Amino acid sequence: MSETPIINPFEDDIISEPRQVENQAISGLNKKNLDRLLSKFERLQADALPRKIKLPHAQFIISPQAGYGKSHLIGRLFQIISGKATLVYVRPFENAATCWKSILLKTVQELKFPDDVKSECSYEDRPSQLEVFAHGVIIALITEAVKNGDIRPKSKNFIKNLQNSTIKDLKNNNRFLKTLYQLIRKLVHQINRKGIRLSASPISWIHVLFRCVYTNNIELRDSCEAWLLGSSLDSDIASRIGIQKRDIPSFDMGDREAGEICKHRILDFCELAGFFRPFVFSFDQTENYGKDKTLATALGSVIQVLVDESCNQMTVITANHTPWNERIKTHWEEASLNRLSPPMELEGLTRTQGLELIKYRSSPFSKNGHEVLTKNQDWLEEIFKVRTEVGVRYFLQKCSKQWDMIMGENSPSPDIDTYYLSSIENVRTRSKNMLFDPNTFYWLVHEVGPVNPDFCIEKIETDCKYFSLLWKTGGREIYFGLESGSHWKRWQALQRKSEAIQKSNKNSKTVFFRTPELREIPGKGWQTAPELLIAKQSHLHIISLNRQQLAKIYGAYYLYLKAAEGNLPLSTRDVIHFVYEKLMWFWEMVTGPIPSSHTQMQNDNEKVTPELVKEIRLIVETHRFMGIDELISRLSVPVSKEILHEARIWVPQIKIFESSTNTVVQWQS
Amino acid sequence: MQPTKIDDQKASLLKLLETAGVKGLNKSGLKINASKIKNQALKELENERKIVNLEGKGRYLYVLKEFDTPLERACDRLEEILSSQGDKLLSKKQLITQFSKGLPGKVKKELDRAIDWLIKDNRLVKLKYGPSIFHLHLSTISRLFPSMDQGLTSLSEKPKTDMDRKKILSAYTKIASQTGYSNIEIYRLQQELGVGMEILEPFLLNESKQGAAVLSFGDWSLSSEAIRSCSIQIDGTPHLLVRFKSQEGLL
Repeated sequence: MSETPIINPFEDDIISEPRQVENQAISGLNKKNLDRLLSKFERLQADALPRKIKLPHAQFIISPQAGYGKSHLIGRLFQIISGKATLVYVRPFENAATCWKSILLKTVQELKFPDDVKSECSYEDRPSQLEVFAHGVIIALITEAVKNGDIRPKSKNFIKNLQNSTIKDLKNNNRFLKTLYQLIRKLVHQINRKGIRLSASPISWIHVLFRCVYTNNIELRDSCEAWLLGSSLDSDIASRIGIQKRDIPSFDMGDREAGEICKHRILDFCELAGFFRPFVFSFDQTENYGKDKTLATALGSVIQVLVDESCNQMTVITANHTPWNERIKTHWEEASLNRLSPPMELEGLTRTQGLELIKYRSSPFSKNGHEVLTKNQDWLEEIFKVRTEVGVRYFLQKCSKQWDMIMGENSPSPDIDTYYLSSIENVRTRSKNMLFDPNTFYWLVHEVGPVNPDFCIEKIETDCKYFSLLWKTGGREIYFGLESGSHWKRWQALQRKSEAIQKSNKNSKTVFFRTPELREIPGKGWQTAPELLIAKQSHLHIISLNRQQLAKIYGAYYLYLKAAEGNLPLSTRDVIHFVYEKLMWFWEMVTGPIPSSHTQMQNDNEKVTPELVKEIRLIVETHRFMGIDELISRLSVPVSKEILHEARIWVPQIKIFESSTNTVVQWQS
Repeated sequence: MQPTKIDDQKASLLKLLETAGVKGLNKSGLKINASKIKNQALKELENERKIVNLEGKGRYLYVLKEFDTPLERACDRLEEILSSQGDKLLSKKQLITQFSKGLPGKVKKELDRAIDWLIKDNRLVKLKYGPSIFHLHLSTISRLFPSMDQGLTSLSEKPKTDMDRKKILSAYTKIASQTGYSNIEIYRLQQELGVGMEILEPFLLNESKQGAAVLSFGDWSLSSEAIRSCSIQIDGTPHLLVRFKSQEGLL
């Protein structure tokens, strides 16, 4: 291992993803609050299956200032209860009218992440949370059915063997799966017998769960996912899955109706969790809701619904003292406030804990890093001269400064450009950050776009079915729709609406954003493809963003959220103006004419291959510790950073460390 | 868990320092000598902030953390010097010489803050004569101008006492119960008490230093002018919130 660290171990002082928190906790730091959360969570596991346990409150964590470790506390909670709960980290929604849709999308995206909180990608031996949830519910239902005599197995050890079977075992046992499929009605009976009421039919749910975990057919799995998201399905495919007709959502729902369906999907998930294990929903970065009264109020209603109407779940909500009291609480109804637990207030870091943190942070980089920093303790003396506790981030910033001084680095204070690059890097390093996020696009069009005084923005609020926002500029009208689905009927309706808009104003067009994981529009074999392709040349502008473009856009939103949280010395206004300038290419794309042919974006053909993963593994294992640029330069075929990170996550021994100027990988065997 | 040798050494050092009280002990008083384990125990206690070296580098005078009150010691020493000078005025230079005699390093560094504190506390008056600055103690003024004694006494009645601390804690508890948070705006505390920041700030800083109170930034950009008016600067950063540790159980 190199003795000269190429990264300042104290520079990374913001947790962007609770799953990334260090394994080692600082002794005693916020332990009281963590224990309190764990004891509340234990209540959800108290009874025998199936459970129907309600917590009387959402757990409310409050910090006296930014940087006291709210997200870190959630990360520690996630690590401890990983494998005992389904974990959902909810980022802020930007449009109150579609809040449930946004929360459900995030929930399903989180369900597709590995069940093991430490893994970054799911594969056969490391199933996703959704697969584990579906498997767990089905096994519990079979067990109930056997107990109740609805299923009479030949073998005495049937239940024991079943409960010991892994997902992989069952997936490979076609005979068993066939039998299980035929028994689904008996499993449904168990749900009804226990008095569990689901909004969608239990039979639809069980068929969907069955397909989600035991089927390899991608088309069926994708359709199940679409159904979980509250999207519409073709009746023939719904029938192949086993979804009842009455459970197929309409393809042209307005926001209100879609919101209801999405809310009930979440409540159904929680009901079904009674057969397996509880959900934990954590609402972090809540400062962002304070910018708009309707957002703050919507958050209050969401929390109230989760507490009142759902069971088998624990909701955790975090906030910073002043933004909470000044900007959010004031917009909450008394009833919503009553749904919060007494506040759990975060504590600062003591000097002893600080020393422990220094040791922990510096050890992966340098054997004597700890001694280097603590040999002379005058600077520590200065920090704790008139106080016994400080915020963790404040302490890390002091350590970082001291580290640079000792290492002879005279790095200038980071400017907004540096923070932006660091945010892009942060997005790139985790593939989960690159999924479709309607909130980012809404923010971009609704808040950043208006920096240009020529754009007049209108919110389309009257139970909108197709579009959320409208730009008016110089007689032109641009309608924006945020659509992650890929149902032909839905897109046909969107196309027709778009056509009608253009007929009333020749200068108008409609814009939709698509991210790399979404299916191409029109889909292969769609009967409506010809009319959609014609529309795409004329008024229906579908902007397919590649990974590099997406990293720049999501990085911008991440920068904004960090500023809103008070994690950076920047105002949100500064960030918005900066982002507007930086994303000039994006505005040109949005306002410009629809390209005559939709050429594939550069690098879109890049794919993660087993050879690439193997090569990355070999290089990092040999060199142990290196910068990301160096790693790319050593590959036989150069790839983009986005693809490199997508491939890198398949090698769990590779750990990643980020700073504002550098990202390094380390081999940890 | 069985206590280790080092734990035994630490306990014995703490006992010696407890007996020594405010006076503290140097290394020979603690019987450290060249013993490796004793030195290690001493270092650990220092890192754990259970004991404090009141001297600077290379010199040692250890006290228990509760006696780490250099500002208070500096004030006591200053009052002792100035009230025993009779009618004689001391220049700043003379004052520094007398003040520094025999004092540990950390206390010596507090001279200027001690002067400010006593002035704010109405126990000291600053006099300027040409380029020279002199400080007169309240007791000297009372002696020289007996007719002013009553007024001066009422002035000097303001400073903090145990009673004042109770009053502040009780105001804090009241606000904390009302809001439901143990972190409260310093402004609210100041309003509840009806005292000036010149009294509240040194009190809170002292409580913070002792570990009884925790000051934090809050959010300057979202706070009103009124709340900002009661900030306490530490390391160039305004702190708007305070939490008293001992009161947490009462909330």
